[in-house]
Amino acid sequence: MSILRVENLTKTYSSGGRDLTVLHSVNFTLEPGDTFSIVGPSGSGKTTLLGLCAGLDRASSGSVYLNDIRLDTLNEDQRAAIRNQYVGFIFQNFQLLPTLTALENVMVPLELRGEKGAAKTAQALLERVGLGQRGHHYPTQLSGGEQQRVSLARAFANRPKLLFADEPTGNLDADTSSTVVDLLFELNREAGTTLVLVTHDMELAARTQRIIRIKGGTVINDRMTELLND
Amino acid sequence: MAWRDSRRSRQRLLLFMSAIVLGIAALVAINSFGDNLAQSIDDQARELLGADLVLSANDSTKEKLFYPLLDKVAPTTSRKLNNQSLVVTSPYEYTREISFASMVSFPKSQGVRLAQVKHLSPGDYGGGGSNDYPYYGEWQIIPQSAEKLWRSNLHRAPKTNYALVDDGLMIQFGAKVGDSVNVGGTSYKIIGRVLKTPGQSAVTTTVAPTVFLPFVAEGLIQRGSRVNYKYYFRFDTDRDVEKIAKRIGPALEKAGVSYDTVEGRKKQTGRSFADLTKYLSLVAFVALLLGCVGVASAVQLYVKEKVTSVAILRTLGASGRQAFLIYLLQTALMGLIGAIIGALLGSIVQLVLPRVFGNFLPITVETALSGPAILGGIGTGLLISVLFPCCPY
Ligand SMILES: Nc1ncnc2c1ncn2[C@@H]1O[C@H](COP(=O)(O)OP(=O)(O)OP(=O)(O)O)[C@@H](O)[C@H]1O
Ligand SMILES: [Mg+2]
Repeated sequence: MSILRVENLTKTYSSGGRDLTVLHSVNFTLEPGDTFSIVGPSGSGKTTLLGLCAGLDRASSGSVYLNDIRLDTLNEDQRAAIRNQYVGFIFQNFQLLPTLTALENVMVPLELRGEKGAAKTAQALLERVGLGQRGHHYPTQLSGGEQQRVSLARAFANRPKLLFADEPTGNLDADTSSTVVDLLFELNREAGTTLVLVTHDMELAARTQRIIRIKGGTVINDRMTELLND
Repeated sequence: MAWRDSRRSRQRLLLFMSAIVLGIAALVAINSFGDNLAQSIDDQARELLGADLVLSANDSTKEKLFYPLLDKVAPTTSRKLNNQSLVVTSPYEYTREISFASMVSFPKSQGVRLAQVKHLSPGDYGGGGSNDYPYYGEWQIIPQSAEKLWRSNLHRAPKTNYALVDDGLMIQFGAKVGDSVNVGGTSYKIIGRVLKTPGQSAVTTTVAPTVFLPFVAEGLIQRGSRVNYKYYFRFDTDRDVEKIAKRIGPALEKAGVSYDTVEGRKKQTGRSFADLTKYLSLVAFVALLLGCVGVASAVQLYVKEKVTSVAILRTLGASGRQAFLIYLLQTALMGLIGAIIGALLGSIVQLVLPRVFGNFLPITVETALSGPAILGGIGTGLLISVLFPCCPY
């Protein structure tokens, strides 16, 4: 059973009467527990691919199977429910809700599910990312690295099967990045989550088991890192 | 979650709330006032009229017509006592009021002005003549004792030259109780100032201030003077005055006599104040409209701010309904709070409104909280606070 399967995924944006094909017939399959990175130049379609995998957007053709559930047959709300159940997100610019405190941000995925004891779980996660004392702070009162750690805690709050991270260190300096990345891999290992990481950073990509390169919307390279390192 | 999220955007929501507060306050104040006005007119219509039935004519000979007409629908009964004397009982009593315009002068200040002169006397027919008008409501006279003095003087013969003078007129000429007033060459002693008589507001008496005289001196009414005769009736309580009026009404009107009943006065007063209420409603509506504009712009800002948040929530797996509810709940809650504050404010303002309009109104507007106005206001507030965020911008 695969956790994520992408078949002939094509995405075409049409704007101003012109069609722009951002992804051409992308294929790959991920098994549970895999760590996987997508690398490629800016504008190559990485974020678009991630969005399609998470059911945030619809493909023009082809399909995405998340935990063997075919996403394109579901409506928005059903896909949202799938996301809440199986998927965690980390973004380059954190995307914390500015009106909520750190603790409350971490509680959101749990509350959306109607889970009890959300505050306790969230507090434990904050402690895990080293922000146990900062729960009552608002995002604007936290540094970038701290915000990203909060969003890590949030991403793991619903014990996702699949974690999507879109350039999680893009806005952080080298030192902060390494703290966040270490945490990311640690949490990932502990939870046995499948990780899909989008990055420019080859060094970071090398820490995952598998890398695909895309360029101009086409997968030009897909291999295991062990081979790469050899 | 909705509540927590609102913390950071309180200022925006406060703006939004204040717009609602003002709009609803105006609406509730004016609707409450309208309700109270209608209620007061209903309650006080009898006092407005001072009688059950008022007939008015412009010549004295018409009084002869009433009796046979009334006798058909409300006959007098007579019975002989043992000693053969005849006792006539009438189902009504009535007071005659003669009024006409005349120049009055105040010797002390040498002031002269045209005033309405009124004289009250018992009606002549049906054995029901009395001098007790107003039968409902009361005169407000300073000093209060002047009314008693005035009434006792009416039964005296010959009558003393006493007069009751409208408060406004006395103020205008700096006259005091005890001074004299000249009407048609006769001097009268002012024994009281009249603040209010049934059916008159301070404003109408300013236009035509009244001087009450105990008798109409010879020659005071000249040929060609426009004299108005009014007959104030009070019927026994078991009589249906509206029915009586309806039955004799056509004949009276044919004879050039107009009539007014409590119901008629209610309608008429209601009608003349319907314009006032309508105008006020328009004011309230404009206030609400401005409130809506405020709400709309506040909500627009708010929505703009929340678009990203909604996107994040959706990414984290919130259903459309959840995300929508979280933010709708906020505006609805603020709308509700705003509307309640507005309703409260409006209810306070409506307590003040009668003071503002009091002098223009012939009645005392009882200020009571108007349930329908308050509920309506809160409902409206909630509605606009829920509908406006749903509007696409
Ligand atoms: N909504 C859209 N409408 C039209 N074109 C779009 C839209 N979203 C993305 N694109 C285009 O699709 C292409 C791929 O965008 P995408 O964001 O997936 O790139 P990316 O690989 O994530 O780049 P980066 O590394 O800079 O984040 C770009 O050329 C972009 O202009
Ligand atoms: Mg991108």
